[in-house]
Amino acid sequence: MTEVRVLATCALGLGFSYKGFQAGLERSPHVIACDAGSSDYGPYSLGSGKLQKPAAAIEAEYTTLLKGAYGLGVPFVTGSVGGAGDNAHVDQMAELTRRVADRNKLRFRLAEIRASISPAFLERKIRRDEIVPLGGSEPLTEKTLRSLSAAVGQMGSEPFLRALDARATLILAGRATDPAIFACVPLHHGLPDATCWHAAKCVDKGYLATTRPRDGSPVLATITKDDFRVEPTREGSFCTVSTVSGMVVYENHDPFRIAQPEGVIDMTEAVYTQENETTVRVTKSRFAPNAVPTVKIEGASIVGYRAAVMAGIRDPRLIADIDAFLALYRETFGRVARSLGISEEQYQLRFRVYGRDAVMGPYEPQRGQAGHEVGLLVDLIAQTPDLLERLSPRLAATGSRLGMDEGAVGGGNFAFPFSPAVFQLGAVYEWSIWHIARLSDTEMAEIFPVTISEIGHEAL
Amino acid sequence: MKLSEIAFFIKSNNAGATFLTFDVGFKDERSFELVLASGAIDEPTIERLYPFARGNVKIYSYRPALVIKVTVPRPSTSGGPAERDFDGVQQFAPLLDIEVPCRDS
Repeated sequence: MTEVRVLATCALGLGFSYKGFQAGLERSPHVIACDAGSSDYGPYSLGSGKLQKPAAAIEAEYTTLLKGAYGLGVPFVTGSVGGAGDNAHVDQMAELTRRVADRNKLRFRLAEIRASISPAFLERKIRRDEIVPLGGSEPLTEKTLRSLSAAVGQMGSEPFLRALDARATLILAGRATDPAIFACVPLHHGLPDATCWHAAKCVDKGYLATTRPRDGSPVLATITKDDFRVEPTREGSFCTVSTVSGMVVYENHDPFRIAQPEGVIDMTEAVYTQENETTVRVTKSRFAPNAVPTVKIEGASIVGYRAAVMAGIRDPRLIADIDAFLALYRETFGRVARSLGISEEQYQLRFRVYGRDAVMGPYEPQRGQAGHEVGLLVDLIAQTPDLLERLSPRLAATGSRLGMDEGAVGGGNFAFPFSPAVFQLGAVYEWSIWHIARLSDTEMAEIFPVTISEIGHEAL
Repeated sequence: MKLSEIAFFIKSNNAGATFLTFDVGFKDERSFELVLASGAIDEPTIERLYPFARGNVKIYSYRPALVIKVTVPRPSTSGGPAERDFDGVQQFAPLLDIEVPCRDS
């Protein structure tokens, strides 16, 4: 094929212009694709296995996308489903997909691509020294694997291509790199890596490639072997050199090279030209393939269970001496915990003082200038739900009543906006794996298995 | 002149869980080139504002989008128990007041 068109909407659940989407369908795209997750929202989705956006919140939008693809008879592709793209997320999204297909009398050949990684697999990679830290992370050890809640590998295009080889018309992938979701269909049609990957990177955030993201216009990438074009499909929206080239800048640490499992998208020499009022043409994209695929592994471990209190403080005397107050609060809470038979190793207590340095902490250049009121976020993480249940009833009162015994009865340090004052926030996770592993072809098939099924009304 | 008076936007974001990246965008080539030539965004300035980045500051000038980009390691991996800004979106504030020496034009 000499030209492949990819219709891209923004991340699933963020909405898009319905008119723009319908106009996009009229351009006869070869695939409709959207990203469905991100690690930007922290480790909770992976650790808990819960959907970042509940099925009820995305169902209407998802239905529009699936109807569009079914109507045209082209594949619909999405990845990092559920947020973290763990097996639990793929399962829940597959359930939603079956429901939407049945209800709307749509029929698909569904490919589910799983991406969860077992501790046993990681142990093998550690022993063979085939897993290295990414960024500032520590080397991975077997000790980390013992506290692991869940881990996923971030797939590139290879598992998607296997699904397309199996004639899938709907691909629900677990954790994937954003561009892989958009690059796979043009790659499968035989177009070169360079234009497919770079184009994919420019449309993987959908309407963010336009001048007014709030209009929600889907974007269309028209890819050939030599170049690609990016344009919005909603009338009145615009793509400019700045917005399209900007897509490779944001949230990437290097604006010229973006690593993928199969190689590096190299945009050093790329030329962006404004072809007409709404369309940008890009040439001189490059792609440097890797000899062996390298896959990013993300893992989340449980830290404990959290309760929090948000308290307003208006007393200028208290604000002026807030550090001494917090030290006394910590010490008193420690005494309360000990009276309940709980030691300081069994919980973590943190304070964030909003109005002073809650956002930047020790790096806040204006730390000395607290406002006339401050918000105190009291953050308690206990090792177990039982410890939390015993400690949290004492959290708010200990601070609010501190130093209130002298003089008249009553009064308090904390203005609580909510009743109950203590929020129960459940399990807390942290990223415990943020590493890169080299994988053989056999290992790729092992950790990114493709399952095919026929779904929809005629299949019943 | 302050950087916030010349730049079109000044943003910060995570670049993965272990990096923080700052994007300073300009409306026109003139202001982009002016700030670039002034050397106002250089390693010592970034290290002074973000002491945790010492020795690990990367600065890129990205002409197609008229963006000066700065990437530093996060002080701690995103989303940990002591997190203050897990997306890293409010960490740009100290950049706003960077002095850009302006030549007479």
